[in-house]
Amino acid sequence: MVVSPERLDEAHPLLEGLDVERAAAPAAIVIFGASGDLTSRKLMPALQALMAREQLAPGTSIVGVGRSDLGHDGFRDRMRQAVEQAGGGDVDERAWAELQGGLRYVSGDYDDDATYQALDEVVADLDRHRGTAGNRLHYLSTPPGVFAAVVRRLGDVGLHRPAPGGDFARVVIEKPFGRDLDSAQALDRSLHEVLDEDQLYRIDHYLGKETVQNVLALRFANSIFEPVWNRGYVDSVQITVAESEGVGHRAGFYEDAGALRDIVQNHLLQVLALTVMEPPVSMSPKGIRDEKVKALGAVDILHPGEVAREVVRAQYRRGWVGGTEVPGYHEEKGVAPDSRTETYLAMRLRIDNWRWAGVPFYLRTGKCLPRRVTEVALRFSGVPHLPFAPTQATQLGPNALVLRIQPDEGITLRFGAKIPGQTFDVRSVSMDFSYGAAFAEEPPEAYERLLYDALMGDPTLFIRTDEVQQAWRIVQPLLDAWSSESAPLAGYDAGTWGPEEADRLLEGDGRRWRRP
Amino acid sequence: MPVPVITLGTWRAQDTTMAPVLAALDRLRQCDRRGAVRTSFVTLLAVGGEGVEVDEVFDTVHRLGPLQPTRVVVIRVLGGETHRLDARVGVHLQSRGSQYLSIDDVALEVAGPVTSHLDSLVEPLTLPDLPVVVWCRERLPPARSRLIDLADHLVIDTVAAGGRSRLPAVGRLHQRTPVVDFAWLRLLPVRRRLAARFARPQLRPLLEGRPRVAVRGPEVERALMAGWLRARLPEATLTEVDDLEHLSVHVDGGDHHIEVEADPDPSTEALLAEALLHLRPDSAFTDALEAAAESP
Repeated sequence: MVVSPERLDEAHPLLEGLDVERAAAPAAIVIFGASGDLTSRKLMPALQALMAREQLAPGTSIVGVGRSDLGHDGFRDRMRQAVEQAGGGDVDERAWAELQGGLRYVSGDYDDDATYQALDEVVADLDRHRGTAGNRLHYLSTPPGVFAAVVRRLGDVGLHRPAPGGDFARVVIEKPFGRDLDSAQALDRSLHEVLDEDQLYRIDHYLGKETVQNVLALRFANSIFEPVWNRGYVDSVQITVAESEGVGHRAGFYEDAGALRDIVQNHLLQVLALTVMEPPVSMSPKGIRDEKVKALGAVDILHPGEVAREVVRAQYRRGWVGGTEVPGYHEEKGVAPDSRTETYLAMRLRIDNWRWAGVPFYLRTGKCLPRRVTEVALRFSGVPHLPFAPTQATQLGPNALVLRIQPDEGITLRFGAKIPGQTFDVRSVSMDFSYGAAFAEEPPEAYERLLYDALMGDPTLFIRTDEVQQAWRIVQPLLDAWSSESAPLAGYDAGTWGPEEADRLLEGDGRRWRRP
Repeated sequence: MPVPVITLGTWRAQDTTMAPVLAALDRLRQCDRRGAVRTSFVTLLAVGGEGVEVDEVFDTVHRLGPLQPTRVVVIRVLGGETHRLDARVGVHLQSRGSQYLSIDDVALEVAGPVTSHLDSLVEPLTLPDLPVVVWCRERLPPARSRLIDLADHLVIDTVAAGGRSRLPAVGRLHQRTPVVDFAWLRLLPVRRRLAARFARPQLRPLLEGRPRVAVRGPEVERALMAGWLRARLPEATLTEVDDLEHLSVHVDGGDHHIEVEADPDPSTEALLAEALLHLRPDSAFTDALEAAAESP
């Protein structure tokens, strides 16, 4: 996301004055879990797009590792299908020709030494014949339970380090990073036995979205917002990550995770951190991540006794979403009839620092909500004195600044305007700005950005170990409180914005949820 | 006369879902930089039965001038029990001198069980944080309709919805969600004119005494006008006289006789513009409704 000054210094003189991005150095990209859905839907299309834009160097190779017995040809066929599907049938044949020559597949179990010996041979062969130059990027698209085992075995065969002549060996892992604070710390200890922290790239794909990055641009590239971005002007903040779909075929995963682990611990708290962090000294990876850690560290940790008052969790019931009748959570395939997994969560947080003391942050996420939307809404305090008759301002609401992260990325500013005519009636209007309409260029998909950054060695958009642990520190009291069977669990009709209990959470403060 | 609009793009699908509709709206808006920034104040939803001419509704709304809603959704509810959701999306620009007004038109044709859950179609289409105005063109929404709770304001026309006998139902609706009634808005010019006549101090005693007031006109407008006058002039002796042609109000007392007549009915777009202009509590309408419901 952020072009650090160092990167420009590294650019060779022929690039000067040319509006081109540097290509990542050739590398062997090893994908564990290569027969899985993520590889076909996201990773391979992203690599193809990067190659099409010449952001990958010729020779870059992809090694799939998986339990399925696909073989090189089978893997190549599957990746071709993935690329075709992502492009709607259109394939950049030049890019594909470059990539397909370096596609390899290693079949085997993740806990079998033979898998890694075979992988080592394949990667060494690529170094010799494709010019991958000893560079490795291992992408663990596997169940998190095998992260530590895979990394340990990579260490056993020496694939955790670049081969002689190479510059880097990095490991990308996907959330969840642990199930709670203890397991997250245990996972980190295991990973750090083999890898240095700067080799670890923890992905939260939300951070790869252009508009998440635009939160930083909006805040720190403009002089008009930052002065009011504090308790002096902001009345409250609402962060919403709403999904319109139910658990679908992910019931197995979701039953174990719930909304807290699936969304809150990572996406929601990352967005919160970007919203509340202090301006970094520079846009360097360290500068930004240090401030995010400080921001998360300032979140007031709930006592277990406060959880019932400050947090609402719920499950969806049968209802209608977007004109379609959807089953209740308990009716979903793979969900236990007596499941108490939350599909919705709303919570009130406070940030104990100079900037935000006293400002409530209302966070909510849920499945089967009326629309898919992710946004940050800052509601501003009212004017000290309203010089209008009460009847002239009945249609006037508080000022609000809304950062829409998805799906229609943009910014909305709500302010009061006079209604044309003889009378002096004022009403709220919304001025909205659409990134998509303003910039003709399609922003890269999140995975394109993140894969490119991982290859380039830019960890800005990846989560550092202390960020992970701060996030678990915030959610751990909720996990503790909910471990009891008697912990409250509300219900809501699919297609509504959540349970009444969530409304009451705000009504007690004299506020209400906005309609995103 | 239709207002010229520049169409940035259109999309349509049969037997679809809301996800592609929303995707089409985003995609079409991104076709042109002139749609990048826009200002909105309301989401307008028009609901009707098979008789609704969708393009006619869009044309009406496109003629609203500065009060043109940025997003207009028209739902045509069809008969039949088989599920159906056909959609048409248009993204347009309306030129206003050097400025452009961006407009999204969404037309949905629905049938089957979803017709009892129209709110689930509308909710994803609402513009964030702004009032939702539901325009029920032909009849009052059923009391069980969740659209009533979704709406911040309901726009109806009691005349089209069945006449005077529907006023008690309008009153119940109004208690739940603020109602703007075209029948009431048609009275606005004559109410203004009548009020203006009493601006002269010499005529004030007439109102403070026990004037005789006669209201002539078609039943709904007459009932609302009489209701308003009963609420505002509780000492007056009020009579209603049926007149299918046009509305007039006669006030007599002492040596004075005041008479005001209504203008010809304004156009639908003028009424809709007036409705959108005044999305605020109207205590005069509330009082008129209550008094009209109580009168024989």
